[in-house]
Amino acid sequence: MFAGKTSFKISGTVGIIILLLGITILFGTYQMSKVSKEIISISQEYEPLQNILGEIRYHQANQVANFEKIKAGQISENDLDRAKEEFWSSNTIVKSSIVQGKKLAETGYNMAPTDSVGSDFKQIHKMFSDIEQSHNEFESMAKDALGSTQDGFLLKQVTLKENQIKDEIDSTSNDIKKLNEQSINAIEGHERGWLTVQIGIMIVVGVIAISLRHFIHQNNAELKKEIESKTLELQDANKKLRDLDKLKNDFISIASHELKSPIQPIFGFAELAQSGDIDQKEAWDGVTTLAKKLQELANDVLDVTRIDSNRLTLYHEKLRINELILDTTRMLKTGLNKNVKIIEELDTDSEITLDRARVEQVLRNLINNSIKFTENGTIKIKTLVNKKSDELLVTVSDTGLGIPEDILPNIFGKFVTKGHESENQGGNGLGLFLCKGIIAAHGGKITARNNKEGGATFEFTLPLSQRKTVDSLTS
Amino acid sequence: MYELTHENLKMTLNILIAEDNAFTVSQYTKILEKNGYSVTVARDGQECLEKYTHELGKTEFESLDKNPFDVVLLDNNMPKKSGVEVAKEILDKRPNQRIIFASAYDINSLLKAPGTIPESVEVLEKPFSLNTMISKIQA
Repeated sequence: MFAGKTSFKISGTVGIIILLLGITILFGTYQMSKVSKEIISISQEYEPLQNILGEIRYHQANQVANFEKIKAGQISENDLDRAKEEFWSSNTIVKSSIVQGKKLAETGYNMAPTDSVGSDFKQIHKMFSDIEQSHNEFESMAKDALGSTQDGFLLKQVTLKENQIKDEIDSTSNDIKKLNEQSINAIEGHERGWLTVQIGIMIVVGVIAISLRHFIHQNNAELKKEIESKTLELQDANKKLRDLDKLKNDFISIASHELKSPIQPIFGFAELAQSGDIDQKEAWDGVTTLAKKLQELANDVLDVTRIDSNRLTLYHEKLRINELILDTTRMLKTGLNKNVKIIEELDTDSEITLDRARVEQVLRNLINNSIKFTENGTIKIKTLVNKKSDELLVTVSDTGLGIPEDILPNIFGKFVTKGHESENQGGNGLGLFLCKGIIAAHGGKITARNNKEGGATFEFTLPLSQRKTVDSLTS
Repeated sequence: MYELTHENLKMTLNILIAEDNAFTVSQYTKILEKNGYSVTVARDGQECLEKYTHELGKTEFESLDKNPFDVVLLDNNMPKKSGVEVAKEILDKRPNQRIIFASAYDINSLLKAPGTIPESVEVLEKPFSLNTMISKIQA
């Protein structure tokens, strides 16, 4: 899930970056081509104007030259006519050129993309009109001058007008040049603005890319950590499973051995009784003892599986705990064939809700264990009512061999046998495991320790008032 | 009388039994003693080795060929030392010691696993008839 989300995030961000870059590049290209096109079109519009001005300048000069030629005289009739002709044809060309220029300026005005360009063309139009006016004045003056004989004043006027036209043409040309440059500058400035925007977009994209890289890096690190921890968890779980498997195998091999071992002596009793080597009573007693052992083992194994699967059913009843303890010890005392004393030190009696048979089983197991490992001595069963923690503490302590240190940590495990030299009544190693399970199902705790002065002490607690127990939670 | 004594001398074999089940031990002892064997009992692997070594110490100088016991009957599953371990240690000391394995343990798998019980060890799988055991010992 985590990986899926991350890859989605990454691909989304990469997509956005590619899209943004694409848009920026497209926009940039479009802007560039637009600008160059505008520059070209503007130059294309201004250039004819300059050409026309050039034409006007040339023909005006030609006109002036012819005018002076005529005025100077001393030329043949033929030349005079030709000069006059040239004067007037130049005049016509100048006029038409001016009209052409005005028209061009008008077209430029109409097609101007912006207002400022439009006003530029308007200005150009006005300049051409000025030139036209001056030229008309020049024309009429020149005509008058040509019609009359030498008139110094008029000639002077013509020369002045002539210079005025020249100046106007030059200034117009200069202005157009300037305007051309201005509009190119304006476009370039405009473009520079857009370039800034483009650079801004690119920087934003770059920042996104860098933060994405950082994000991915961080994510990778997190994923790596997650994988590592998951691997560890798996290894742990795997080890636990292997341990459980080993425990199960041990359980099966020990249980099957325990089940098999009474079979040989049962056959032996039968054979010896048949051949008359032992008497019938001995054989029957032996077989009965072995059958009981098998029954106990079967019950224990069943209980173990119940505890393992949390299915231990308790049959609760309210009863007096001291009574239960005394009943149990009385029974054990009758079967006692050792120099061992069982002493009860009981606190005030209290009524507790518990499973009689199960609690008796725990007591029997603990006291029998003590008897097993005590040759001479006493076994003390003590109770203590703890009102504060709402618990009854039951202690079984003996003066026997104690628990070997290597076994103590696992004493409540499955198939833990005590390995004492004196052990001759081999238990099946399930007793304490069952005790722990039964006490836990009642909501209590069981512990074991060695006494300083020798012997072992087992202690378990039972809740005085009923609480939620493992049993009532699961069944 | 003479016949009986002669018979006794001829037949009295020393047997070392290692077995942790009290009932089984008493039954072995009963049938073996009835058949005229001298029985030594050990209740675990460690005790078995100790008794073997002790007897070995006593008989060592009598003859190099003579083993301390004619037969060692071993259970496999015993406290402290398993039958397999005991068998190995005994055979280290006396390679021609006769050993009979009597166990309810899955003997086939025990035999198949390499390097566990030496080949010279005989096997009696539990449960077996006590008479079968006698025949095996006498074989």
